[in-house]
Amino acid sequence: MFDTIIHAISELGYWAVLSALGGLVLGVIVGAVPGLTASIAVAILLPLTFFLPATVGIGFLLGVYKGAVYAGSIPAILINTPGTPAAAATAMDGFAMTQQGKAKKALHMALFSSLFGDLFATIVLLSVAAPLAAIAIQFSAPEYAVLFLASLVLIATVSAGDSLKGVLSAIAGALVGCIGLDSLTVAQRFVFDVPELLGGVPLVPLIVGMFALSEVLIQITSPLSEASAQISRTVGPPLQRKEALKCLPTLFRSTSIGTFIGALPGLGAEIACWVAYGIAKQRSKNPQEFGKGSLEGIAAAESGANATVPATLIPMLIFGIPGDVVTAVLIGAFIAQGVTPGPLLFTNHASLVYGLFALLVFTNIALIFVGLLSIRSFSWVVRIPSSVMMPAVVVIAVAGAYSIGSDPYDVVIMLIGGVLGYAMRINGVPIPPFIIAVLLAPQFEKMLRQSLSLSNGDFTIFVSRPISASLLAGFVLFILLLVGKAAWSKRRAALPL
Amino acid sequence: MAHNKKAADRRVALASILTAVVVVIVVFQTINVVDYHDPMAPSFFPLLLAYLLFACGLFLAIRTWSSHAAELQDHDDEAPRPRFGRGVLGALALVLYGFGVFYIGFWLASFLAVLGLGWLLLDRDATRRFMGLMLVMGIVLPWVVALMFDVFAGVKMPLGWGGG
Repeated sequence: MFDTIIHAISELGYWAVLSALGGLVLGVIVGAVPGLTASIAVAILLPLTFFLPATVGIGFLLGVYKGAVYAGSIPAILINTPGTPAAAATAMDGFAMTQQGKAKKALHMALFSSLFGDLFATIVLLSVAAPLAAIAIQFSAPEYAVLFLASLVLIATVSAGDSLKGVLSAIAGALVGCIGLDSLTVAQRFVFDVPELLGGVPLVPLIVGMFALSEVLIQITSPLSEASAQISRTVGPPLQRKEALKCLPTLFRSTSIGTFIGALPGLGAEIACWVAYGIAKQRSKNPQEFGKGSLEGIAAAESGANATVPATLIPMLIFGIPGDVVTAVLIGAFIAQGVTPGPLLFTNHASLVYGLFALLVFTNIALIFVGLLSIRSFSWVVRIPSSVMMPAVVVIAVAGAYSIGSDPYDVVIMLIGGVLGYAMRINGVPIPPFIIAVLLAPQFEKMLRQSLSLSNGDFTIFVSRPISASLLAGFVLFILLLVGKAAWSKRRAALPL
Repeated sequence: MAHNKKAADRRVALASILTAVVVVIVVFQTINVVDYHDPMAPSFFPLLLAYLLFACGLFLAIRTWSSHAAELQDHDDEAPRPRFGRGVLGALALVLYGFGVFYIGFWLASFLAVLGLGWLLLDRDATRRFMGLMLVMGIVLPWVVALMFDVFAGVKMPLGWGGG
């Protein structure tokens, strides 16, 4: 394995390193602008990478992803407006510290925690990816069918406020995934004599529309209640080494939580930051300080959120299952390069995978410098209203959709996606289950039908094979635990104080 | 985001049930197989999804109609209401821009889109403050974006009627 890693690093080249660095800087700028998320940035930049070598293009997107998740903390701390949803927990203590004139300390803690969480999770990814892929090679249709089903249900039920709407969103997405030619019989489904639909609905314009354009429509309809952002002029002293070391136990705990949550499909940085924050508060010696400017609070939220970035790559690379929207887009980038994520990726494209792992470590080191520079120089970015940035997002999105195939059809799909995404959002229907189902449904259907054809239509095939039965049992147990926990929380909340 | 959860739930339930019914009709009308529920038939999976969608939509409808109005009402009279009129204008602007790119060209359509969306997105004070920036952005951004896609992707943006 070490030979492969060294070979992959030697093959990387300057352009891959530079593009990852460029992506990181761009990601930090994007993440610092409230309203622009990692998902939007990665989706609208994806078409650009189709024409670049794999390590250059995908390395660039990984840089953007990492930079954006980190930089969400800058406006969260400075103006109490999380740049990305994952920075929401950071705002609680970060902005309190800014009000106390300790903004620099808070920003340094956020950067240190991000680096810690990211590096720890990258090491986990490096250590578990290849062994897990070796196990995944033994999977056949029934195991994959169970795995896809479990991922879809998990994504649908946990990524939204209302689980039922999440399930509805996933089913609707799976139906959209059925459009085109049936992979087993080549029969046309929902094509309606439109030749462009034979190949299915293009995922990239759909994602760009559903995220970027729906966000523009949301911003247009939001009430004008934005308070003018004022950044505190007093930034205070920097973070002391003693203060950072004091937070080490919290960092280890929160990073482990973030890595675990990130590796599960559907649970991203937005959830990890709150879980890590909540547990850190429970375990802290000074829980009363949380929410009032606690360094521990920032450490927990930031390390938890950033640890999910490398961790979400685990299910994506090994099983081809996207854990969130960014990894769904990344799968699109891999496929556009002629590379299909899955267990064989580690044998057929080992130098690409390990090259990307090396870029993850490189961007982690680069984030120290980019992060310190951003703290000093990017305060102007947070002052740009997102409403000024949104028209730029629309122009880049239209150009990106058109560039995929120089086809107006892609632009039309993007526009439909934008309106559909807006309609879903105003009615409280989550978009991620829909997108991930569009991507996973064709594979799930194929595996399900192949399994049933193996067993002559007998559904017990899924419980009669040891691996699929264990996966199914684990999945059912997990769902029961979630349901039990939700019921317990509801009961506890209903009890009189 | 949903201003009134109950109304939103009703809309979602209705849309799900209608979609499921339409999917079933389309499958039976357009896919020609002997046994529609045979796992190997191309109709098997869409029908399975449609039945699930119908069941979940029905469950949501029953849950919404049977629950106490107050339980699901997160209507806050004090909170500013979303400006849906502007949303319709925004959607129209996006559609016009999407088609305009192919009729009047990427540059002019983008310039108009930046100004139009900027006007819709900003309040009156901010429009005055940022109008200069929006004008510059409307001119510079399409050129930068077109150049970027030309250089990196080899894709030329549409010139519209004048240039094909």
